[in-house]
Amino acid sequence: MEYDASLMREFAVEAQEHLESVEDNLLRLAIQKENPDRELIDKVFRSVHSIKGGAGFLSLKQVAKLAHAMEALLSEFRSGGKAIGGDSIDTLIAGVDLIQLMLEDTDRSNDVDISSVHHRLRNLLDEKETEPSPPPIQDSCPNSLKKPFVQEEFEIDPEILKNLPPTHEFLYLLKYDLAASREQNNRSPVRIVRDLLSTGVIADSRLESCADLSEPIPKVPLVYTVLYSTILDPDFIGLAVGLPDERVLTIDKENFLKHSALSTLHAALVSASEPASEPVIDLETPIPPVSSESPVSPEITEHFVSEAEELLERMEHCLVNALKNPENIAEAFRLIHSFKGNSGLLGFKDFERLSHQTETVLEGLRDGSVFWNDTIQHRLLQSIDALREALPELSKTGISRILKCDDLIAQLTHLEICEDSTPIAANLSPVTVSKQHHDIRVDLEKLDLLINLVGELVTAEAMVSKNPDLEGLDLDNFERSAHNLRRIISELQDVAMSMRMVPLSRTFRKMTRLAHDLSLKSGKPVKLTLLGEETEVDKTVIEHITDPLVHIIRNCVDHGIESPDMRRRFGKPETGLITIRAGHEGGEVVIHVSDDGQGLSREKILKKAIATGIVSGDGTHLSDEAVHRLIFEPGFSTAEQVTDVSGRGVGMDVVRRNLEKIKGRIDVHTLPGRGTTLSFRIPLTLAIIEGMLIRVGTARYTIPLLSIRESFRPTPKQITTTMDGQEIVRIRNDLLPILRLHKLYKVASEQTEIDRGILIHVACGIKSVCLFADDIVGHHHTVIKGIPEYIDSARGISGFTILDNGEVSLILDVGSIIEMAER
Amino acid sequence: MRDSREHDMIDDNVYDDEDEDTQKDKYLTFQLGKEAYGIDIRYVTEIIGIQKITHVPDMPDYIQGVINLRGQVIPVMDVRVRFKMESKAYNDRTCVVVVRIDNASVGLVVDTVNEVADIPEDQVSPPPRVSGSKSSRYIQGMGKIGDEVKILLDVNKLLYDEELEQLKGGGFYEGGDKC
Repeated sequence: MEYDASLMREFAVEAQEHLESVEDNLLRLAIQKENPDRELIDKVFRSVHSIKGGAGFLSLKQVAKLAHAMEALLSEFRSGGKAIGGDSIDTLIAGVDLIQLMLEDTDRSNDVDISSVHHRLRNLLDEKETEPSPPPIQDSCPNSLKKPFVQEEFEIDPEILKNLPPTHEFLYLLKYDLAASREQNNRSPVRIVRDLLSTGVIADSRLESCADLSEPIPKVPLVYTVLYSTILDPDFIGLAVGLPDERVLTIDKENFLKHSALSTLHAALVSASEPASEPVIDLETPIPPVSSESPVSPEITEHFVSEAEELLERMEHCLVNALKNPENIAEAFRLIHSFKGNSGLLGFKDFERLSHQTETVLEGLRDGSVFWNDTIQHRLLQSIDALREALPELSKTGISRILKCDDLIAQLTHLEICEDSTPIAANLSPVTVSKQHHDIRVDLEKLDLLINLVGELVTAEAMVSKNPDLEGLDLDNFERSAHNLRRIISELQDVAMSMRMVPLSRTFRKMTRLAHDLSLKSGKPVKLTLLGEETEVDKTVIEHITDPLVHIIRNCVDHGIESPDMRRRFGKPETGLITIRAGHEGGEVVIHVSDDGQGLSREKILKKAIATGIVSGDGTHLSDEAVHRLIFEPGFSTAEQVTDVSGRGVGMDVVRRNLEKIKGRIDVHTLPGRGTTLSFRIPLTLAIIEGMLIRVGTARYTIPLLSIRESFRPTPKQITTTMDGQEIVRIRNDLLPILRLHKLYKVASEQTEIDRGILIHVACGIKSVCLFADDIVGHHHTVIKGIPEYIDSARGISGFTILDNGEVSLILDVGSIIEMAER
Repeated sequence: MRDSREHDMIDDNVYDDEDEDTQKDKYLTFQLGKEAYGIDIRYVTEIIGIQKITHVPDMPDYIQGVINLRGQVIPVMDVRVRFKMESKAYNDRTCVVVVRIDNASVGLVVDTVNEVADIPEDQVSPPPRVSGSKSSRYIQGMGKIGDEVKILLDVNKLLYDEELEQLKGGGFYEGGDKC
């Protein structure tokens, strides 16, 4: 069946999110091992379950199959039937990886070979189970292959049945062999379908064949199963559709609809290859069986369990939020009703009894004969819990047994007579209801457009309220309104900006996984600590720091952390420690990645740098800092041997380049034998700036307020000029170089005497300089406009902003100005 | 109701086709000194009067700086400087023709804008092959309208062709060698 591509995309995105959380939680479970957090397991289980559901719906068979196997293993964890071990976690993670891979190309996911992981999962499951219970999913049962007929499952969607014309009294399952019809009766498939449509409706159909459909008409049987709704009664149907009676299965539509929640109809029909053999019609007749433990096939049970889980989950949600909306009670009632129907149909007695009682209570609530109170809520939730807890056992053994079922029923019965509570409709006060988080997905482009528009609004507002035409006018009322407008716009701007901000936690969590994998691969035990993962940065920033972080963690594990042997010799704990710490520092976000490894070796770096020609001479003239910075040069790597993890010498310069793209910088500090710390400094956002506006001649520049330490008019005594004309200013005990902006940017300035203009002390990291300008114009808060691609990049400029009068001002990039000054 | 909607759709289609047609062979002509030049109208997004240009360091001399086009910062190129013609002080007839290629908007400063002219393909001659003509590589063809000749410019080359200049080492960066 064809599905909307957008549906598929949406599923893939959602599934990816699920997988991320699954991965993260699995890793946490791996750490907990003996005392696993039940909630975590449940979370993982739920995520995998929803992936399975979605994949099944979208016919991603392989994804669904794998998810199903994972789910089975997880439910073992859940029921305590199997302890969580490193092996099972690894296998599950492998499953996550594989599903991720398949989701990347959903069109071809069904061709992906999942057998190895699937096999591992199955093995893990079987290990524990003493009695060989049938595996939850089987492609082809070896037994059925030997038999002359093929057992098949035809799923009937109750929704389809509901939509059939009411005049159609009869429903049949027809089984055609298209190849045979063609040969014997000369009826083409098109003809068959047309004939069928002339006397009824094809509710659903399925074509199955192992043959290549691109061939005209294969010789092998081509089985075409049709769910056919018509007014023809059973005496005529065979004749009408041109099929022998044994290939027509009559379905009791009414009964089926009554129990329509059970959506799987099992039908075993004779296949075309053996028309002579006795017809085997093994339909799970939808009549409530008498015996409580009827032999229900594992597949059906499995189906029931997975559906029940969902129903219960939704019911729980409805009950928790019952007071918010009375409609929730009705919904819960409907849900338990279908649950009851399912249980009854399959003969799960305990389930049926308990759900029946629950239904009665909910019915009372709905009709107003029973009033809502906390006890009722508690009891109802209890019974849902009881139902849910009984599910794993059911799926494993096929026995439907609920502990203390009678007690629960008794309690519920008792509730019905209680009348000391308030009707739900009257009790809509916000009681303790769990706060819900509502998210919607927004196209990033739309968001950017909104932010741009808000930015323009900010400028437009300034242009109106500070319009030169208003100068000198006495406008009290106008000022008040303008002030109000400004406040609203500023709030709007804050909200718009915050929408782009994303916490670092997701990126950081990826590192947890990475460290785990690397540690396994390299055989070095590593512990990764994350601090400040709630720090929020702009979305574009996130995109650019993920790769650098990956490279750095790899380097830490590969080069930084020593082997356990070496670490023991140095008296360090065997497990290496990597810490990622994020936080705000000034207007920047700083991310420190530290390890407690061997640190950078000046000798090794120099030797390598000289060998590769990056450094000429013996390098003794270079400071330690300069030597350490060499690791960011392209093609530099000191790893003695190239491993598949890192060491190809591409890592660190990629890191630097990536950071430069977002106006970030990287610093390295190292202590030989004690470890290395790499620090990223990245702007909080790429969209807004708090700046000081300065004037040089007619040009006006914006300096980010966060880089400014102080500004002052110097006295001539403070200035020293060196032989080559470099001016140096003394501020208290510091001597700082002066950079004349008019010289740097070659513009005509008003002031050339240093004591007539103004000095602005700017700093970037630990380095400072003083910029010389004519004057300070003021301070403003504006939207950063990126540098147009056509211009590409300009020296010492990080972007533009638009001033109140509509003119464009350059934003100075203090970091690169200082770098320029040093060169 | 249904009928009218169908009519609308047809009208739209007709309009779209016309739109394509109206853009074909149409050139915006402008003046630089004595000569008239033309650029394909498809690239032109708007024409504005000259406004305050903010100088940007490190740019080729023909990039005058940036302007604020309704909240968007776009670079402006002085076409006279680009063609190594004598530069001329801007006055109130000076115009900025905003062109857009591959999502990049660039303003072109020209002496003045003339008109939108229809120059059919058969009225366009190939650019002259004269040795020593440095700027001829920007020419897409010579368009004839009656007895007038318009120099039709290749907007892409006008904006992006700079390798030749770089190869010749012609002071690309305005004093960008050291700081």
